[in-house]
Amino acid sequence: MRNCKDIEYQIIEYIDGTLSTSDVEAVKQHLNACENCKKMEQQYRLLFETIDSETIEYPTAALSDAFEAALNQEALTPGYTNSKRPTKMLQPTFQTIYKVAAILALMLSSYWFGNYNSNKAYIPELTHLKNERQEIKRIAALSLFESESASKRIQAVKFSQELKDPDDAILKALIGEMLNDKMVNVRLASARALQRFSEYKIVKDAYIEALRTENNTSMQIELIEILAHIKEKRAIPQMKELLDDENTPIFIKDQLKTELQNLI
Amino acid sequence: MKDLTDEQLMMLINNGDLQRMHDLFERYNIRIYNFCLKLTRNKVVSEDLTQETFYKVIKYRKSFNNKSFAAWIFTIARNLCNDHFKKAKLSPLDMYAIEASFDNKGHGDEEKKENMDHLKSVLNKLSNVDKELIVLSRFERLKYREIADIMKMSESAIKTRIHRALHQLRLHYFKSSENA
Repeated sequence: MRNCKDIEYQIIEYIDGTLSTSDVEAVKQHLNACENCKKMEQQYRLLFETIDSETIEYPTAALSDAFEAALNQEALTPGYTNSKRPTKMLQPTFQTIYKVAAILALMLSSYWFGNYNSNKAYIPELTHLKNERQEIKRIAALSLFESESASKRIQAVKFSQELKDPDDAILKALIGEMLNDKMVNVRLASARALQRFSEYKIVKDAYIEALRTENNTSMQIELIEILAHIKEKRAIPQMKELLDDENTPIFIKDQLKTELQNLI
Repeated sequence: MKDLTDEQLMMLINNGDLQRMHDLFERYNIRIYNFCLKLTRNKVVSEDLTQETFYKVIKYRKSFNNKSFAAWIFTIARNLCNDHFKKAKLSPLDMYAIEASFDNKGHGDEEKKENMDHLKSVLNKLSNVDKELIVLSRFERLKYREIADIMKMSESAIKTRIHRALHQLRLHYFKSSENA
């Protein structure tokens, strides 16, 4: 028989369900025999019930807006990543600056042209303008990919996502970013953007290649998810290799095990 | 992806995937808000303090020590609440007095409300540390290990102190109700 003082502290864990099985039995025995402790147990239950009846309050939507703004602000801060990949050397050239300026001029003039002609609004004209806008986006994306600023390269990824049917040049640029960009957020954005074209062999190959060369855990998780989603069986050897690598973090191994089961 | 722990998410974030911060915001914003609300009893102030807490989490993410994320974020929130009281020239004692006078309106039936009011008034009879221990362990449901990190004490010491605080709380709660 345990004494009542010891039992009091065990009762709290007994109610919480965190007591070991053998201790549970001992507490139960004591409670059956001791009126005082039985009363104490009921008191604790009532007390905890009152605490748990506390209603949850919810913040207003302004909180998540402010959070979103702070996060976006932070993402634009230069050098926020600590990626250890070899950096791709980029020389800012006058050519790039010239290209961006030319595109802006083209965008403005086509907007003006579109407005000027809006009262005519012939269907062939509209199609022509739409095609032209797609073409502008294509050129903008291609030249922004060469920009030194990570946020501009992300913008390039976004432009390329807005293209209806991107050509080889865009696909290759996206693949290049996914494999070689020094900023992990650009690599991630490219990997996600490429998912739309995952039926192309060139894209599938690129995903497998990226999984082979990538050291960043966020990218690894993303790539494993994508490869599993598109059911790319050719990735199995690479995934197994990663699973056997002692440097692979445990949670990635767990993910690999689950996805491998689904793939095989 | 939902299976990742808070600490694994922080690792991904510190590896460059800042967008994973959304998951941590989803998991913690309501908890931190309610924690601040319990200490300040002011919705506008609590929302500001919660916002400030997440600013700091974003800004100082690299200094996260890879132990418990819950302990880390609650430490930040607790420090901000204390700063708030210093600025407002209120002692922690006042901060709990305010808590007791807070009108717990609306929800639930009368008896529940009475019990809650009674609980808050007996909480005021405890020492500040004991009150904080009860808020963190029973209201916010943090683990002993996490509270130990926040209060900078050993886990076993925290466990004993929480048990003692609960013992005190129970005596006050039922003694005064029997007298009433």
